[in-house]
Amino acid sequence: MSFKILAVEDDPDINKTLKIRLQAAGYTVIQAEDGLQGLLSCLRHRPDLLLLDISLPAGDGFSIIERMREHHPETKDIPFVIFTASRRPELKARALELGAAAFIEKPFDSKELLRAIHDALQPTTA
Amino acid sequence: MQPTLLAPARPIRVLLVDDDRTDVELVQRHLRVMPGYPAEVEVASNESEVFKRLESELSFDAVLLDYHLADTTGMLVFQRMRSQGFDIPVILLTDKGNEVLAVRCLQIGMSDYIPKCSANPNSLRRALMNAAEKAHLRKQLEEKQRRIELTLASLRARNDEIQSFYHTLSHELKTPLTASKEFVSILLDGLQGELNADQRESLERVHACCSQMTRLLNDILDATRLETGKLSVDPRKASAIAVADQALANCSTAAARAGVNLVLKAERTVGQAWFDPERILQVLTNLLHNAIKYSARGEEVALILSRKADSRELRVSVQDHGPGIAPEDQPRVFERLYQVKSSDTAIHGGLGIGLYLCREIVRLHGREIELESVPGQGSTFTFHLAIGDKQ
Repeated sequence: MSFKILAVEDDPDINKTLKIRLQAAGYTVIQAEDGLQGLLSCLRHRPDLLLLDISLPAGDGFSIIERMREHHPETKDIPFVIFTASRRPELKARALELGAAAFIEKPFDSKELLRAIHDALQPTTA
Repeated sequence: MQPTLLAPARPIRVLLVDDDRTDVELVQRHLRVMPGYPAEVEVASNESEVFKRLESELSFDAVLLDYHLADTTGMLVFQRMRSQGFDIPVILLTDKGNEVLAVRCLQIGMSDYIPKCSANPNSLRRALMNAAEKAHLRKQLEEKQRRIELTLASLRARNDEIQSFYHTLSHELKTPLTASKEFVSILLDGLQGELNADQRESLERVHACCSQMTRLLNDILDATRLETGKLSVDPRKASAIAVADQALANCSTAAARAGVNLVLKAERTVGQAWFDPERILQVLTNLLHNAIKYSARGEEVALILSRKADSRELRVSVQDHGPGIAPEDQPRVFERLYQVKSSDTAIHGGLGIGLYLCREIVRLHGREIELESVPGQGSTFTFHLAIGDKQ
């Protein structure tokens, strides 16, 4: 059974590339275009990993994680990767503080993205 | 100095502060007959009366202040006036000439000083006119300063707007750029079918162009962050060789296309140094791209890492054998938006912020970047990084 990835990204072109790329790598892809949809989708589909843009309509990427943590503790172990067009180090710091498995800058290198997803899906030995 | 200010349209309003009735009458008489300079006089004989008058609706053009008052001195009254924001010109009256007192009263900001023995309609008129002129000039100066400050504030606000516009612009451009680059790499990776050699080469060029645009956009974003003091570095213990390898990898496509031989000359013992790997990678990538841009086909561009035996510093150099930089241009190449020649932009492209960013990032590490260049023989950019656990 393949891993299920929920990608939350509001740009339709980037969404299309993500779908092609992630499916080609053998993942099942679910997509959402804003923060609220992302949260609902996450609760409904229970993905194995979240790929989150930060700047999103209806609740940014961070708020999805925060709301999940606060109201849905059963989702707390789902790993997440942040990808954003911003270069602000404070966003990276916040992502890592929230427990992001990786912080990837757009435009990203697809190998780097796939590696980050692959690593985040490895079961932790701890 | 002759007063240049013309007599006012209305009588000058003077507050006379003195507790000696005889002196008050004498000075009042002088003030009433000042030639061509009518005055209205109010009298206060102690400190509380002074402030009652000053706080009343009347606005005074000048204060004639006796030094000896029953409950205080003219100096103290003056200082209290200033501390309460009354900036009316003040002329000190004293019983007799005292130069030390004269100097002291001017030092603390009084307009003038008149010994009572030499007070007469002319001396009072001159002192009042001088004081009025000084006050007028001071007001003008303050007005000019206020305008300069307003202009400065509006320029600062405008600059912030421009910076923020650049930031938004480069951020917005990144979204379509991300999609373009990814669509191209999907094709290059054969996810949508096999490519023939020509198609592959064209797409590789598009991909390289996307990478170049990404680098330029990041440079713009970082330059605007520098301008607003928001660019920072996060130095930590990191492998210099790993960063150098990554920088070379970043530039390999550009080097191959330019026919430039890109080499890393490093003693494998250089080990770890104290720096921000992402930012130093940006510096090295920028310096290497610059060196490649100015090199001819077949020339070599070298990234050199070296460390002297007993040194706590790692020396990092990027060396090319291109046309070099004329001595008169060398001090300016690190300036923001500087291009060596106006034709330079047309021939070599670039924004003129790459070297500026390099210098600032190295400065954020507490170091300076240096340039050695001989026209016709090439250029070498060098900086140092601390070895060990901290700067």
